[in-house]
Amino acid sequence: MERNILGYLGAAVLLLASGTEGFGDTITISLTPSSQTALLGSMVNMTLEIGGLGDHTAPSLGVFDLNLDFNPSILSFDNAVFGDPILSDQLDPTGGGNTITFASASSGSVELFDLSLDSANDLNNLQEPTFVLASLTFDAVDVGTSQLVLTINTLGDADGNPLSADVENANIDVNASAVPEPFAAGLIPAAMTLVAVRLRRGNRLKNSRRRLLNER
Amino acid sequence: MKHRLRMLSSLCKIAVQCACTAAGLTVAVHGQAPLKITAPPTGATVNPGQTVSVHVAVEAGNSLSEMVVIGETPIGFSQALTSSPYQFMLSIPSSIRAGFYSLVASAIGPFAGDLESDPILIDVEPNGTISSLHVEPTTIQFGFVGEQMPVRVIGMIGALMDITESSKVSYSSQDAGVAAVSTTGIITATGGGNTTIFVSASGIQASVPVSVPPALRGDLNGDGKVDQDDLNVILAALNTPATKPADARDLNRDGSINALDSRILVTLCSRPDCATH
Repeated sequence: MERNILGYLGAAVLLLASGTEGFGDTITISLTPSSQTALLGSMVNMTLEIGGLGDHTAPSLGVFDLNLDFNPSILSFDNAVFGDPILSDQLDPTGGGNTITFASASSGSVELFDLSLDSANDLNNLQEPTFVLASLTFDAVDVGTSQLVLTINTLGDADGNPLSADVENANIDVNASAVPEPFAAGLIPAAMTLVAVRLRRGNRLKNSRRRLLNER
Repeated sequence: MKHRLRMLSSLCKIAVQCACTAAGLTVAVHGQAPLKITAPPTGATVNPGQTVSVHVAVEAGNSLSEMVVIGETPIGFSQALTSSPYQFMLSIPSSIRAGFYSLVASAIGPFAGDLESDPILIDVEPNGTISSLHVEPTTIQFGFVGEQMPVRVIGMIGALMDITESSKVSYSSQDAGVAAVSTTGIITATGGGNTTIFVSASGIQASVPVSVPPALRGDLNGDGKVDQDDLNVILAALNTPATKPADARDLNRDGSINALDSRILVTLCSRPDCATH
């Protein structure tokens, strides 16, 4: 009897395990690195990545339209380069330059848009499951911390059906380029010099007085 | 009702101080105006070439140095008056288009600065019988479903006059499933096919044949092909609401023209890579 129960439980576990395979991975859009420090006045690089798509099968990504919000008093958007630097543009896996892209920046926000003109078959058969959507560059314009918050306007598969995805945001800490010497610490050498001069002068006066008294 | 809607729509267009709701029926006026046009009453009908007597009342306690009445273009300004009674004579041009026009009284107070009345509307209508109607354009071929086009209606009332927005003119569509027409003569393509728009005034009727191309899904510029030119139509309206009742750009009918529609259009393109023919 016990053996039978264990057998049923084992079968149930196996069924559950095989049943979850068909659901595939969760699609995630993330900013990498999730946290970084930059010096004031420097350029800050960040990549926008997607993962969890089908591995050379549907669902593939056919179009994305995202908003990236940041603190404009700390960061200024510089530029965006669409496509994966190693895998090339995975919305153009045939390599024919068949995309329409734009990065439209306003104060504290940039809209990133990439539309594949490739066929649904090419996207589904040739696209990698994980790749870089765009490489982004910001200028660190003031000291502080800025969050970078992604909002999905639209994410569509090869046929134009909506895709849902989890979003992973990031933050950038901007530090001053040089640590200034504290004011009091800067005064110590000057004070010590002054004390030394005074002591020397005091000794000299004492010696002169002694010499005068002796002479008398 | 039609008369009233036209009036409110005109109020929405011209009155700086009023805010109309989407229904077009609520008018909110900010603040209490110290000047008030007491005659003519709002909505009064006047004729081209007529001189209208405009009376303005001033709220007690307001001292004025000069007042004029300003009519919406092409009516223009009245003479300036420096003391009461504030009764002005305003000339309506004889070549004016029929429709509603706003009048506002404006004054300079020596201490209070500029003062302005709430606007009133007068309905300029042709004086006499309309003997013939002419509609421009004479035929309309729409490029795609959702496209809009205005018509211009010219009536012969002794002389030719633009009566497109006259309350004496009414519009109707033979088949609203192909083209719909507004009370001010704006025609909207609503579906593929042919129909006729009828324009009527004083018992005279004119007609405008309208054709809307058969709905080739994704052919937004009506050239019979789906290509990057059509894609550009969607990209130009990216992330905007679809226009009702049917907007061919909203390919997935989710009420918004967005990136999904652009990708769907790519899948409908007649040539690989959505190349332009």
